[in-house]
Amino acid sequence: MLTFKEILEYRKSPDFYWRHIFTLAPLVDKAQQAEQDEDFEKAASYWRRLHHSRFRRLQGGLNLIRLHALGHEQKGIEQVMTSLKKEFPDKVNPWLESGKLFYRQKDFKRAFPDLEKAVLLRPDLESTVNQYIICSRELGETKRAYTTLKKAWLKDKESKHIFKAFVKMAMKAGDPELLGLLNEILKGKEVGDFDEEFALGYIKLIKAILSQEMMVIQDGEVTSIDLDHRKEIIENPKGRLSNWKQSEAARILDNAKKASSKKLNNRREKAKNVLFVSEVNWNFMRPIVESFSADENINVKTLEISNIDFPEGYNHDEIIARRAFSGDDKLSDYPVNQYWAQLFEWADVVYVEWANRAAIWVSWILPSEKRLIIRVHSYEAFTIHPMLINWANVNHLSSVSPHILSYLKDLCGLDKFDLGTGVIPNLNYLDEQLISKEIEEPLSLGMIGYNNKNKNLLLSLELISLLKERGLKPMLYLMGHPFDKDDAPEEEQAYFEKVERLIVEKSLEAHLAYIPFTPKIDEGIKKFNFILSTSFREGTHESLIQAMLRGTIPVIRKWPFLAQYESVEQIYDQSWIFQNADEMASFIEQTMKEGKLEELQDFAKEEAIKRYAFPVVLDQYKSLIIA
Amino acid sequence: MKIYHLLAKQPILKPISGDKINEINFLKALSTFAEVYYNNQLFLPDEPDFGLDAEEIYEPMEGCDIYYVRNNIEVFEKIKGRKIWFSYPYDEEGFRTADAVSTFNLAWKQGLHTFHQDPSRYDFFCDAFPKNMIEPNGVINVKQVLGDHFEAKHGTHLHFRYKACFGYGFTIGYFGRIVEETLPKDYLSIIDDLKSEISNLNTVFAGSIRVPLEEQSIINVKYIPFEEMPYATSACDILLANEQPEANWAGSAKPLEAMACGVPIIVSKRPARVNQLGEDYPLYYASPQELKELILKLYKDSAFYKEVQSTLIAKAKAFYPEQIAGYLKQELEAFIAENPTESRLK
Repeated sequence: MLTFKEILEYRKSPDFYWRHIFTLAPLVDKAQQAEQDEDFEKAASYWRRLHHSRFRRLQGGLNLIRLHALGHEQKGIEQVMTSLKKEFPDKVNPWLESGKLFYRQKDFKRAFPDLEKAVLLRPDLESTVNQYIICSRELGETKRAYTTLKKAWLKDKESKHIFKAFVKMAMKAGDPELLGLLNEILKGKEVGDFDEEFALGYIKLIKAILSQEMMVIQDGEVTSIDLDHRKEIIENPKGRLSNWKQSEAARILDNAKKASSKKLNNRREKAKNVLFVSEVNWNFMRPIVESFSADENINVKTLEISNIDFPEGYNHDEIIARRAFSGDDKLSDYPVNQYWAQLFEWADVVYVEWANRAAIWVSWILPSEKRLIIRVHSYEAFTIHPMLINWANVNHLSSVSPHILSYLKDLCGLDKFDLGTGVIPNLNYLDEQLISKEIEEPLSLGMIGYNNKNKNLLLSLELISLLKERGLKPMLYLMGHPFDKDDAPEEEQAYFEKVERLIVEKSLEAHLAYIPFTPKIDEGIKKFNFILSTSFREGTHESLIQAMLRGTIPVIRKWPFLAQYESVEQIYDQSWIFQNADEMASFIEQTMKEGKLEELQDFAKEEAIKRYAFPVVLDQYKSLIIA
Repeated sequence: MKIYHLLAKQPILKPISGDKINEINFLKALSTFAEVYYNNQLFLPDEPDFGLDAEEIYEPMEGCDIYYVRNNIEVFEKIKGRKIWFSYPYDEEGFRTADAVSTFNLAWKQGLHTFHQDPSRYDFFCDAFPKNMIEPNGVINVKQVLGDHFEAKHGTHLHFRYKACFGYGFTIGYFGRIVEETLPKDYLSIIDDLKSEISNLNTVFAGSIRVPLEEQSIINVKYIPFEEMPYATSACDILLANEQPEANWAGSAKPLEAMACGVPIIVSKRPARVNQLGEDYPLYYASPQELKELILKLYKDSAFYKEVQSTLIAKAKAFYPEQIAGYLKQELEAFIAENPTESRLK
C-alpha cells in the first residue's frame, strides 16, 4: 500500500500519465471487476468507453463482442465488428470474434468469410480451422475452403492441425498438385525428422495421392473396381505411377523398406508352426487350413485382423508412419503381451491371405526374422494396397494367377526386392467324379455369376444370338444372384438396360433359363455342357475350373484386361480361347455338328485334374509354406 | 386360439438382442397352434421380418383369447381381456391386474409361488422382486424356446470361417456383453494354468466389453449376426455361461443354444440351469479349481467330450418350438378355462 506522499509523487511521474491518461488501464480494471461481480451492464459501459478511446479501441470492441456472444446483448454490435475489421484488417481477433459470433448464431454465410480471413492470418488456431471447414460444408463451399487451407498450410507448414485438415480435404478433392506439394515439403527431410502426428498425416496424404493416381478414389476412400477408369494403368503398369515413383514419399518409404530387409532370408528349415492371417475374408482358405491342420507335423493357428483392437500407435497407418517416417524401427513399445504379438512370436511362418490391408500391416510389424508369405488373388492388385506393403520384409509372394503376379511385379517394381514369387492355383474341395448331367437341351451353355458388368453378359447374349442365327437351339443358363437394380451404380444400371434391350431385340427370352444362387454349384453345372467366360477381367475364373472337373467344356473369350500378360493362355488350353463371339460360336457349332461333345468333356476333365486336383495343388502349398 | 403380444415399446420384433430373440422363438412356438398378433400384426414365422412393419405401438386389438404383454404397463392397463404379464421386471400394477404372470422356468415359477412363505426367496431372486411383492393371481411357466435354426453346423464354410476368426485352436467362448457383473472371473483366474496345459488355447469373448481387461490373450469378436450364431457357437469347443446371481432363476438361453450345437457348456449349478440341463449334467462346477478340471477333462478325454456332446444334442430336442408348442397349448388352454372372460369383464 502506498502512503499518501508516495501517491502524490506517483501522480507526478511519467508512468502515471502513461498508464492513466493514455492506456486507460484503470478502466480495464474496472470492467474486469464488474464482470467478476457479474454486473455485465456496468462492464459493458466500461468496454464501450474503451472502444471509443484512442488506445484501447480494439480491446474494448472485442470485449463487447465477447459479452454479446455470452448472451449480454449489446446494441450496435454489428457496427462495432465492421469498424474493427475495417480498422484492423491485419489483426486476427476482429475476424475471429466476428466469425465465431456468426458461427454460434448458425449464420454460416456471414461466418465463412470472417473465419476464412482468420484462418489465413493464424493457421495455428485449430478450432477456427474446424469451424471454417464446417461452414464450408454447410454452404457447399468446400472447394474454396480447400484452396484457402492449401494457402494457409504453405504459410505455416509446421502447423499439424492445418496439415491434417488439409490432407482430409485433399483426399476428398483428389488434387493433382498434391504430389508436388508433398515433394516440396518432404525434400531434405530424413526419417526421424518427423514426429508421429505429422508422419501419420503424410501417410494419409500418400494414400490420397496413390489413390488419385490409380483412379480408384471416391470420397476419400478406395472404391470398387471400375475397369474403364483403370485402362491406362492396366495397359502400362510400368509407365504409370511415374510421378509417385520419383517422389520423395516413395524414396522415404523405399528407404524404410530397405532398412527392414529380412535378416534370415535364406533360412530353409522345415516350418512347424504356421499362422494364417486374413483381414476378414477366409473364402479361399478352408481347404488349406484344414489340410495343414490335419497334418500331425504342423501346428496351425489363425489370426483375423478385424478382431484386433490396435493399441495406440499400432493401427495400419500408424505403423507405417512410425516405421517409415518417424524412424521408429525398433518399435520400442512393441506390445509383446497382445495376443497377435504372441502369435507372431509363436509362428515359424506367417501366411497372409490377400495382398490388402492385412498384408500391409503384417509386412510392417512382423519381426524380420519371421518368414512371411503373402497370397494375392486379383482385386488387390488394382488398389493402392500393394504400393504400401513393405515388400522388403516379405519372403514370398504367391499368386493364384500368373498374369496378376506379372502385373503386380511391374506395378510395384518387385524385382528390386529379394522376394520369391510363384503361382499356385486355389485349393478347392472338388468332387472329381463326373456328375450325371441332367441335360434338357443338347446345346446347353452356362454362366456362373452374371450380375455385374465385368462378367459381360452382353457378349454371351451375342453368342446365343449368333448360334440361333446358325440354326441351332441354344439354351443359356444364368446361375447366381440376379442383377440388383436398386443398389447398382448408374454405370451398371445402364449396362443392364442394354442387356434387357438386347434380349427383347433378338428375341432371346426363350433361350434363357435362370438358376438362383446356391452354394451347391453342381445344381447348375449338371444342366449344361459348355461353360462360358466372357469377362473383361478374371484372376482364374474359379467356377470354370470347378465346371471342367465335372466334365464341362470351357469356352473363353480372351480377357481384354492384362491381355499383354497372356492371362488366359497361361491358365487354360489354347483350344478353348477365342477372340470374339463369332469364333466362340464357330467352335460350339463345330463341336455339336462333329459329335465331339463327349470327347471334349473328357479332355476338359483330364486337364482340370492334371492342374487342379486336390493332392496336386496341396503339395505345392506344402512345399511353399513348410519346406 | 387368438393371442395378442407386445414386448416393451417395440412396434416390430427384430432379432438383435437376447430378449427379442427369445420372444421371436416363443412366438414361433405359439404360431404352431394359434393365431399370434404382435402389436396387432399377424406374426408370420416364415415371412421376412415375420410380416411385421408397424412404426408405432397400436391400441391393443379386441377379440383375442389371451393378451400377453412384457414390460409395457401403459398398454397392459388398457387391455380388458384375459391377460398375462411377464413377471420381470417387476411392476406392482402388472402383478395386481394380471390374470397370471409368466416365467421362463420352473424354478422361477416356484419361487414366485412360495415368495411370501419362504423367506429365502427374496435372496434367491437377488432383489429382483420387492419384499412386499403383490401375490400374483396365477403363474404360468412359458419355458424357453430354442430358435429352430440352432443346430450343430460343423463341416460348413461358415463354421470354418468362425473357427478361423476364433484362432483355430481349442476354443473356449463366452457370448454376451461383458460388464463388471458378467465378467467370467472364475475362468480368468485359471487362464494362465490352462495356457500351460493347452498349447492351442483360444479364448473368445463375443460381444462388447465394457470393462478394462488385463488379460491380453482374449480374442474379442464384437458382433455376430443372429443368423450366424449357430455357426459361431459350433466353432467353440467349450462355452462358458453367465454366472450372475440372477442365473438362479432367469437363466439365459445360452445353455440351450450350446446344447443344440452340441457344445459343452460349463455352468455353476443353479436351479434355472438344472431346469435347462438336468440334475445329472456332468459339467456343473462350484470353484475355479473344478472349472479348470472340467475344461482339462474335456480337452484331454475325447470319449468324455463326445458323450457330453451327444447327450446335449439329445436334450436340446425338447426345447425346439414344435416340442414346446404342445406344452404351451395345454398351459394356455388351462389358463383360458380358469379365467372366463365374463368374470374378467366384471
